[in-house]
Amino acid sequence: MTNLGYFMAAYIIVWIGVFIYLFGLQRSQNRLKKELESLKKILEEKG
Amino acid sequence: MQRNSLEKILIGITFLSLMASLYAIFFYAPLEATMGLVQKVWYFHLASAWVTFLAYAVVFVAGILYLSRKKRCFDILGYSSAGIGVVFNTLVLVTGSIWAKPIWGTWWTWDSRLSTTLILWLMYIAYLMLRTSSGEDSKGARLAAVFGIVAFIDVPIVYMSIRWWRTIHPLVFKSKGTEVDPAMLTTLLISLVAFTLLYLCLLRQRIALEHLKDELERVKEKIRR
Amino acid sequence: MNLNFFKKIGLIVWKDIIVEFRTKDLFSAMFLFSLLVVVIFNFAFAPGTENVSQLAPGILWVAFTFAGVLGLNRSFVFEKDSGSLQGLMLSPVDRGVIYLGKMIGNIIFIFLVELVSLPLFAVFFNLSLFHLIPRLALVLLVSTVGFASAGTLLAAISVNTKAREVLLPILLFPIIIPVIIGAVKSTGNILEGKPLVETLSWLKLLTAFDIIFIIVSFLVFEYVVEE
Repeated sequence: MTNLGYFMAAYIIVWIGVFIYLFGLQRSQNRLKKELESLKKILEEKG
Repeated sequence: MQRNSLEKILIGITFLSLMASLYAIFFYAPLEATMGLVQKVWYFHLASAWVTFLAYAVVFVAGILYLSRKKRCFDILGYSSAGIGVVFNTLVLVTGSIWAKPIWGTWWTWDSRLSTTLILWLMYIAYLMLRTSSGEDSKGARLAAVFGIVAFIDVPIVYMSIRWWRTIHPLVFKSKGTEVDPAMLTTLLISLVAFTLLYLCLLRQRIALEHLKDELERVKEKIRR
Repeated sequence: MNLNFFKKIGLIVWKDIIVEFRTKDLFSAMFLFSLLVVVIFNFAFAPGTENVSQLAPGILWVAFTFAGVLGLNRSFVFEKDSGSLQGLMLSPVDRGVIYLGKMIGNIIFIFLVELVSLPLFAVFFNLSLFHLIPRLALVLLVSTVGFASAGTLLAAISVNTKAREVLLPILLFPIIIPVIIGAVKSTGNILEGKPLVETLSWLKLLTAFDIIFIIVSFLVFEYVVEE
């Protein structure tokens, strides 16, 4: 009784879960940063 | 500048400790006699459970601090921590199910710990829903803080009531603690430390995201004027 | 000062009772709703003579929980829409007093609905519970206080959000799991004719829940309704 399948499934799910969350955070951070940059540019042009 | 280097150190230590815990789980910890390989899920399962509880406790404390001090940073802390708590709570439920299937032959039993974990998950999903539907302003922050406090106080009562409801307790962690192999305990300890660090890393990222949102709002406000 | 405190609570409760007495729509809606739940469950589970005492407590409490949510929602949505909640906030009473007044009003309405539904329930499920009414009333009261103490706070929270009524069950049901478990277990014990001693530990749990939630809600209510 090794249950290798269950074991591997559990570990893969934990890592995938953590990484999806982390990548989600990074992506929305990058998106906001870009938006912020472009808005700041608009602000500078306005004076 | 200094803040950035501190963050890099935190990320580095987290990465190293996660690697160490993986090494310990795969090569250092002995194979459990009756449960076999699947018992090794236990380390990450318990570490996730610990992070879940830690995250919700932070929501509780941040809620009290927000209501007494009215500082935006406590609101951000509570909201961010609740989101991370739900992520790890989900992982606890999923890994628990995967472990239960080969050991008990079922994905789910209404045992007191499992049920309480599920109810915790429902409570904090409700917290996040409350947060999204009450807006980002101070009113939403107040409502969420109140709910975070009430929910956390309720947890021990829920656990007690489910325990009484189901007096027949299936053997889960029986004899754990009395005859745990020291190598297993060390491995568990490393995993707990690694996951706590991971929680701190995620929390920092999540809080940074909220700060970015705030900054964006400020700039938008400036442009409108 | 002390007399004043109770008088203020009494006035808020009295206001709710007068409003309800004029329209009567909340009470009749809650009563019909709990009756409908019993009817639907009858067709869903078809309880026969042999399993009715096992199913009855659960069905009863599902009916009361749903009817109670209906009542809790109405109690604040009506206040908010008519602007009378703002009037209450402007009046010179402590926010905690408003909470206690609203909570007692909710307890009275839900408890009345439960008492009126109980005889009909006995008829539909063919239970003889006439001699059990004092005990059942005790369980109903202790559980309803727990339900209303958490429910009043969470109804005030949900009425302040965009989702409004929809959010209340999602916030409330996980929180009141101990009340539901305690109420169903005690009701089951009483229907099976077990001595009251066996129900005592559940009643203690329910009472503990009541006390904790009344105190905590009393303390935090001002942050919910603050403008």
